[in-house]
Amino acid sequence: MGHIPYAPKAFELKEPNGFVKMAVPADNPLTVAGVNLGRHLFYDPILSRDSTRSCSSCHLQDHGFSDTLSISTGIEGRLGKRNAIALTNLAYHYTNFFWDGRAESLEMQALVPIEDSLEMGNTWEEVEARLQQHATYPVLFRQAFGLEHIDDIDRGLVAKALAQFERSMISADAKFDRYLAGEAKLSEAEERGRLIFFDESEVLPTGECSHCHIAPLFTSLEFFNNGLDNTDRPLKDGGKWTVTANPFDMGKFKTPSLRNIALTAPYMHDGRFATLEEVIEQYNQGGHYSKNESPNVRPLGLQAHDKTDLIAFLHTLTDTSYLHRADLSNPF
Amino acid sequence: MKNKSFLLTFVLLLSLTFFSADCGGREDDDIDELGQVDLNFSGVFGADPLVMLAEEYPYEAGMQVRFQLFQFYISEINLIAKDGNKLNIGEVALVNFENIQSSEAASKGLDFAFSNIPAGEYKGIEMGVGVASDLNQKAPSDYAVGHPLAFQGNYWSGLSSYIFTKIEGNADLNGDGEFTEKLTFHIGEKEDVPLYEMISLDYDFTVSKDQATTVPLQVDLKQVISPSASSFLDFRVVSQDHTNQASVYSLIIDNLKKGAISVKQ
Repeated sequence: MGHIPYAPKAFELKEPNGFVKMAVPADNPLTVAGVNLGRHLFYDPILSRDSTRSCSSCHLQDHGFSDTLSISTGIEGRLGKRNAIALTNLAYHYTNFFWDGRAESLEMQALVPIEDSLEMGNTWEEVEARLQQHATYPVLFRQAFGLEHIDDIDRGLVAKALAQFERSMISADAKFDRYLAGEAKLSEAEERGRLIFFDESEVLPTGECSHCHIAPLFTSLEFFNNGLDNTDRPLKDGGKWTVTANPFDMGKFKTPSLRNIALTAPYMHDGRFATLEEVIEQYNQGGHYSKNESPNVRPLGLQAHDKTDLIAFLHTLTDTSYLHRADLSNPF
Repeated sequence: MKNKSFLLTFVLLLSLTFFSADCGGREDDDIDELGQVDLNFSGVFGADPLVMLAEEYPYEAGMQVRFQLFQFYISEINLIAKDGNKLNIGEVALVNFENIQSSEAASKGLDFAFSNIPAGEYKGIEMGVGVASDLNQKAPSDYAVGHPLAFQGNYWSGLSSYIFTKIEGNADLNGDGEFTEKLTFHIGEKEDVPLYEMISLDYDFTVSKDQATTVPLQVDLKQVISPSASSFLDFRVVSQDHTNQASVYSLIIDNLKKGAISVKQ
């Protein structure tokens, strides 16, 4: 493929104010061609066994790169195990991907769904063969990674390209961001909700939200038992326990980001709550006591107008520009 | 929780120039004689090893307590040489017992390795409890992932302060075996509440070339929240504080600074 030009150009990723410095692996810097390749792969059903499902089948841009199902489905309508987690600001999630944290990097995460029988149900050997024989992908791989031979197209490079594209998915233009920048003013209800969310009022009840949903990512990237179930007994889905086998991890799941949360219903790892109202009521009750339940989940005493205002604040985390960014949209 | 482990083992390298300026009087060729110092923090609750989640501890007034998290920052970590000169070995570290969930883990404690330490005789160590003022002027966005001060969960943007210490767990208020009272104490600085303070610990030790020397330190959480029967956090009255009740945060931070951290005997 030496006749195809290879002139890698760094992808200019604007880091938002107030975010921790981004963690990009030294062996997978973002390039324009790499991100472009990853975007094509993200939207291409060629990765699935029957060529019906792509990453974007469960991660829809209109919904903050989540979907609208409680539990996502794979090829042949196979029911998966968990709710599709929204993809936002993944460049800052330096480890612990998936609800249970079983992938240490975005690159490792990208390898998994292809061979998951409930998702794409394919084999990497088949995917590699399809891409090597494809009319255009060899060119895209050459432009992205400077390959000399078509045979060099492999799962590792697919994962790297997908990770590059996903790292370009930065959401930091919500009303809340503009408020922080002094460019927008919150309504009375939104401001009241903000104070409840961040426990910043001596008068209003505390929402205790920001212990785990910490700005600006609105996730601490940590794992908690948030009181959904009694975890003192084995659960059908043990969350982080399925990875560590540590009984104190039973029922712990990665804290999801709340960015674009108004668009990512249903909620929780199993999509059990259809609305934000249900979510807030769950926390307002203080959750189910278990040995490892986070002590930060406690009865809140929120009244109806407190809940309404809290939801008003959560809507300020909707980044409409993120939903319409052309460079994140389907290229096909 | 590998990210936490990474935070815990954050290592700062010394500059030879700094050493020469700070510990004058040594011959230049001594500079090549460098060793390692491992600060080892063991957690205890009174006479017992401090174990998260797996252990329950008798508490005042017939209560019992079980912990899920105990962590605190230390800053401006200095070794004190025999001649009294101070050698800065670290800017800041997070001492976090969250993953100490067995007696085996408790016996190992938490290690912080500091390399390139000049060989010689030392008589003590000093450190600030909390985040030093100049560092507390910064925010997680000033740091790259992996730095102890990069973790957003330990920072209050509204108050522009790091959370110096967190204690979380559950209490059984009446000894019936039900640990249903949830405990969350998060202590950081406010504009009118300065909490940072240096402590100094005497300990004679020698650093030898290419050798690791352990400085064994002990942190007694009981001394932090319940130093005596007349002075303790009464969970029947208070189960939560985010640095808004002076009687609570003062008790915690003062005790952490005064006696809870010691050289392990």
